[in-house]
Amino acid sequence: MLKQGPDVKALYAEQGDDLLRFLVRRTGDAEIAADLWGETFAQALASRGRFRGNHEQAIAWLYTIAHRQLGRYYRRGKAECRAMQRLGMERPAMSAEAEAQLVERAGLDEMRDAIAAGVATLSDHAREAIMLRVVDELPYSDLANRLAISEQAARLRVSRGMRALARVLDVQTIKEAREA
Amino acid sequence: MTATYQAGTQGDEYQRFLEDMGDQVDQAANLRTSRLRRRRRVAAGGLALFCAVAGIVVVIANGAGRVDVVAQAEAALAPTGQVLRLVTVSRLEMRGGTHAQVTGWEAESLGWNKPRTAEQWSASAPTRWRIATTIPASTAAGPVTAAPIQCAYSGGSEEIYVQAFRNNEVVVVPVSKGRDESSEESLCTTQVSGGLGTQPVAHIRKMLESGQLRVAGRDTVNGREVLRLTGEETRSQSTGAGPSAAWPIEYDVDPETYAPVRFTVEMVGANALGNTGTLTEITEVTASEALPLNETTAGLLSLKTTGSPVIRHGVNQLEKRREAEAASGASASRATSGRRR
Repeated sequence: MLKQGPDVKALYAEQGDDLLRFLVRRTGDAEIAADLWGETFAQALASRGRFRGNHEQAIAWLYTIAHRQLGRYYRRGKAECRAMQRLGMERPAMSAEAEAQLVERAGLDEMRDAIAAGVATLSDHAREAIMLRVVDELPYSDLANRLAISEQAARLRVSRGMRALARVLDVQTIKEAREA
Repeated sequence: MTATYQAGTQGDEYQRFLEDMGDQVDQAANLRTSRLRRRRRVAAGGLALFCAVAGIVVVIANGAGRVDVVAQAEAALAPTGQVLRLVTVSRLEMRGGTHAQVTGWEAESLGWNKPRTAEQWSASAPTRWRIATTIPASTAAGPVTAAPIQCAYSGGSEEIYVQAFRNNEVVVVPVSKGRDESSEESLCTTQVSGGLGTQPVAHIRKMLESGQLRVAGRDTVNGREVLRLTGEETRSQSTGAGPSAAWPIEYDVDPETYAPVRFTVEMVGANALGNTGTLTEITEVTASEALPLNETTAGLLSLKTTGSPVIRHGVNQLEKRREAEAASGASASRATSGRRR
């Protein structure tokens, strides 16, 4: 019986693949996604005693942990692995073939096409701001100088562009929307 | 790792990667579970030590021996030539959890979050008892919030009677050889009982007889002073609590009459249906009386049925399972020795 929180092993068996593909689509990088994925399950194991709810809520809880990992990754630019270390877990190495298969399953190429298409739909100003900020990784102050606008305006332009792009980031959503 | 993850028809390499990570999750989950169990054992050991020390202090302070208290408590539960009648109210709570109440739809449908009143009569030499209570149930007529149920024991057999079930039927099942009426295998266990089995009186009496309960000190329960006896028992795997789950038990008695006041059992490791903490059953005795054993009161120890119920002789499922396990163990052993040859 021993029902101490959700059965993370069962959650892994059911959601492991889906969650990894979800993270690949949101990071665009199989290795980083795998790190975040491993840390998500490690944190789920470490905090399962505090969770209360049914199976559906357990899945939502798992994805909440994953979202939190993603947020930290976006802010800090690196994936954490503290929970994995604490539990003595080691994320298995991914062979080139496995990575290729994962990228294919995640529809990463399709997603890149979708992003390219999405970028093409942006205004010239927004597209330029995003390219400078995301691709060239310029700080907002430099970006503002380059575009001859205030830093606040630069932030706003990038933010609006990113919001527009966010709508095309989930290939699955797009597919489903198209099929519907 | 033999599990196949829900990854559709992906290539072998990716499947292997998922399986390797699955191994990591399995190992970490098992390691964490064993750590939690170890912490609980340490905590239980600390509690037992505290209780033992408290017991010694109380015994010295009162000038009374452990045996005296235990013997008096035992006698109060099995008055010779009398029928002991108890009315109890049991409730479940989560000890050490984020909230004391057991919550969730499963708990609600099982009636776990509602107190349950039971009336029971028992007599010794020979042992006989009857318990009458209600259970949440569903019948052909639809859901019933509280169906009356009775269980009784005498002469090595248990009887269970739920008028709402089937066609007014009494099911009779023999208790396993070498076991007694307080055994956790009870037919009624899954229907009416909590942590102390179907018949808490018989259960506590057996623990007193075998010296499993020790004097732990005095406390106050609902404004009333009580003498507390504590102990623990190891639950076998058949209860579903794991092979080595030790369940702490408290038995509170009146310090003057030794009449039962409260039974408490912490069902360590029991399925708490998603609730945090340790599922704990608290059974408070709201009425207690010893009736003279005569023809009339002896009738209280037998099932009270209505109409003409059908008598059906059932099988002791636990005994049957044990036999099947023994048979499979023997055949496995023969197969192993055959391979060695």
